Amino acid sequence: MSPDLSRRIAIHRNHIFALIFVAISLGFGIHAWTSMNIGTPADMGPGFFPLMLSLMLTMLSLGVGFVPPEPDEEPLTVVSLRVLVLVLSGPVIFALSIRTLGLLPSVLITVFTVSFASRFARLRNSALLAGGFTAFCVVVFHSLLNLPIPLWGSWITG
Amino acid sequence: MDLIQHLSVGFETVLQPSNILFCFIGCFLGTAIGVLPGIGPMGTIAILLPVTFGFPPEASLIMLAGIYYGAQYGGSTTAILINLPGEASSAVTAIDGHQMALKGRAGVALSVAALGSFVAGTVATLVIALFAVPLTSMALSFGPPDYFALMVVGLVASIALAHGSILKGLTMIVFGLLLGCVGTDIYTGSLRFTMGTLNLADGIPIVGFGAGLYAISEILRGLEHETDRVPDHARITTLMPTRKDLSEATGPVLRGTVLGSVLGVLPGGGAMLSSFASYTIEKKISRKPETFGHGALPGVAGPESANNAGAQTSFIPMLTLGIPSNPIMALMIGALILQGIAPGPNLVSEQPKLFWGVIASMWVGNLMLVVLNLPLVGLWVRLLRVKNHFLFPAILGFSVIGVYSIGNNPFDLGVMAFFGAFGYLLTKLKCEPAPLLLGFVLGPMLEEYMRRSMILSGGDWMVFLERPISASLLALSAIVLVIVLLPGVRRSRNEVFVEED
Repeated sequence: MSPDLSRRIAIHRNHIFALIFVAISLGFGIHAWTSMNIGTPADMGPGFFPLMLSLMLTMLSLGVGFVPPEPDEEPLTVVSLRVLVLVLSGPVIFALSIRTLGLLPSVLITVFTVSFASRFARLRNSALLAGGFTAFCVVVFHSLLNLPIPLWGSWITG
Repeated sequence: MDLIQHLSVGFETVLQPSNILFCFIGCFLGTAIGVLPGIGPMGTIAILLPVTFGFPPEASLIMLAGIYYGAQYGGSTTAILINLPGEASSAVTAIDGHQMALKGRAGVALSVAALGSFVAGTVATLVIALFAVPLTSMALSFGPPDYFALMVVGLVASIALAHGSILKGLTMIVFGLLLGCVGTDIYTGSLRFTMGTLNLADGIPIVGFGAGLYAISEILRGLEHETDRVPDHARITTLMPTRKDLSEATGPVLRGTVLGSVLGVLPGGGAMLSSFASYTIEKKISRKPETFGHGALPGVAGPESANNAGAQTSFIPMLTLGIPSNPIMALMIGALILQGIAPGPNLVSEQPKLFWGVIASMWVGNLMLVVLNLPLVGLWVRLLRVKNHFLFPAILGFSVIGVYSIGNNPFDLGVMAFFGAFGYLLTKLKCEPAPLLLGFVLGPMLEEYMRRSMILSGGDWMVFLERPISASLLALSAIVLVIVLLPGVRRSRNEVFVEED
């Protein structure tokens, strides 16, 4: 539980919840109201159901905002920004490299990068892990299962 | 004698050597991913979905089904040995299962869980075989308002017996329904909430959405307080339950099986709901309720049977009505469509080999799981000793490949990252992802049936209350909602979940 790993946030959970969901529902509702045909109950337009839902969502999330915090509620802790960015970079790196580099390099880079989200990551271990995992994926997905993803991408095959 | 004839068609299909092999692969994989926390049947089925495209439809469904119920077995192993639910549905098993393990009865807990699951699997297979055909013919008389009401019941049920605040659960459902609106409107063809990208024209990609919500947010949670320590696991001495254990487990197993079979049929039911409900009931009717939470055998036997029965009967709405009762069933429907087969009430008459083959395979699969898993328990223990910082990059690696391989579209991975962050935020705010995903899955159908009903009634909302089927279903969901909001029920509901933490 070292303090460098997680941050504590002092705002009450239900208020954050209400704030986020009221904003989301208003966003959806206003968009539906202004840009879609609402129609009538007998002949509903594309905007009818979304508008109905966003009204319900606004009321429900406002309701959550009024629920008092539990007396023994532990403070909110979240992962550090570094961990968040490294983990989320996984799908992003894979998305950006899968077509240009292909399955093999893409998996290698993704797994290698993501592994550093752990504070126990060491360069040598991560390289071994990424290499081993990639080899496994190539054998299983490419050779055994014939998954239709090219091993090498357009930059490499030309 | 229709039943015997139907089942023999099924067994003929599943006993072909290649189908037995696929059934085995599915069960084995399912157990492995069930044992590992963080990767679930959803991600695994997603990865294998594109692969099954080349298989015959029976083989594909048999394997995918095996992954789903195999995961229920695997999840309980983790729950009992290291007090961590390998799958969400085994969260309750951890309460008493791990206490048993601490008292040196890990082996007994494991074998009772496996035997209970097998009994439940056998009964659930029979239930499906018995009720699938009558339900299918009943389904043909269902009108749009009835379908609408059926889905409302499922949505309400999914929060009523699940974890956490009911108000937040309702919010999650409505938000899920709203996210389900993204994409092309079925009646007018106009695009809704697509933010100008054609990538969202078919809606938010479900696999990217689900993988973000579950896999990524689970990984982030695991990285909050990292330790280098391998979780302690209990030693297994004997696997053999005594005669006393068996007689103590019989009642809970049978009750759990019945409960799971019934709740599994509801859209929104399935494995998780059944195991929570079974634990509550066993504790309530037990003559020694004080032993619950301290290693009570019925607290393992009941929920484990219930979740396995529920996992299996949740195939009923998918096979007979074409309604997915949970996100995994939505993927199964995807697998059928990939094979060019339309799910719905006609499936049983058009594809009898597929229909009965899948049902018979569940029994065969359950038998394999009992025979294989107890001897293999050492292998699963070793799998659990892999340290998290080696495991999570691999889980993420499998997930990205799975999400990408569904549509070969890098955009889906962006969706995965986005909903990963969002799902993490939701868990921090103490919200459950399950109702959100269910709302998302059922949203488009709910809207379609609502609009169709309203067109038929000429704009009269009373149509939902005039038809006997839809009126009684809606009344049922109202009653369920009122009951769970009653102060007394709320308190006892909280008590069940407190012990789990």
